[in-house]
Amino acid sequence: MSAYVETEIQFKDVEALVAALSDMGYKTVERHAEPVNLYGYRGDVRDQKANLVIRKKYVGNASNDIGFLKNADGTYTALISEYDGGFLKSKHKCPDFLSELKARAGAHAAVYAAQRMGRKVQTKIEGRKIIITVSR
Amino acid sequence: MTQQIKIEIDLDTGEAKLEADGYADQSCAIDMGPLNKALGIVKKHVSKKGKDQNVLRQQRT
Repeated sequence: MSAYVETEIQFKDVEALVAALSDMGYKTVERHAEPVNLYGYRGDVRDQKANLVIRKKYVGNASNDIGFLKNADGTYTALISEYDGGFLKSKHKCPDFLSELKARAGAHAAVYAAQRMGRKVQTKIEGRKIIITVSR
Repeated sequence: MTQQIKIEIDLDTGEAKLEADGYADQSCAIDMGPLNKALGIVKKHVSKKGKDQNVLRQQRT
């Protein structure tokens, strides 16, 4: 059984987080007002609970559920098993899954903020970079 | 007043580089706080108007 690793992530914008997960191929994300249990790769109920859940079938054949638990201050704690920490790096060919997720979420948050302010926003991907242009 | 900003985010390093009207202005790591950093960039460089600042304060809560 692969233990879960808890990593506090700093952002509060759940829409940006879900959009970033979608960017990385996770289109099916359960959203729960009250946290629910995660399941391990053998279908075993784990002690960890989360408000945002990607079920293991959407992650990988030998994976556990991935979760994001909402903290009292509105930030989220990522719950990713030790196995999946390595698996996701390999799957996404990136140095660190959470780092990329946070960068993508930050990009979405910036875009949302600019749009709410009535600015014109263009976003494009160049290789491993996101380019956001905000103009009046 | 700044007319255009360009934010370049490196997905491998988490580094965000900024250009304001074509001038490189700052480089900051967004790894630890992408939301606040990203909003901070927009807040600082997109508008200096009080109204817009209020919108940003609401979004940051």
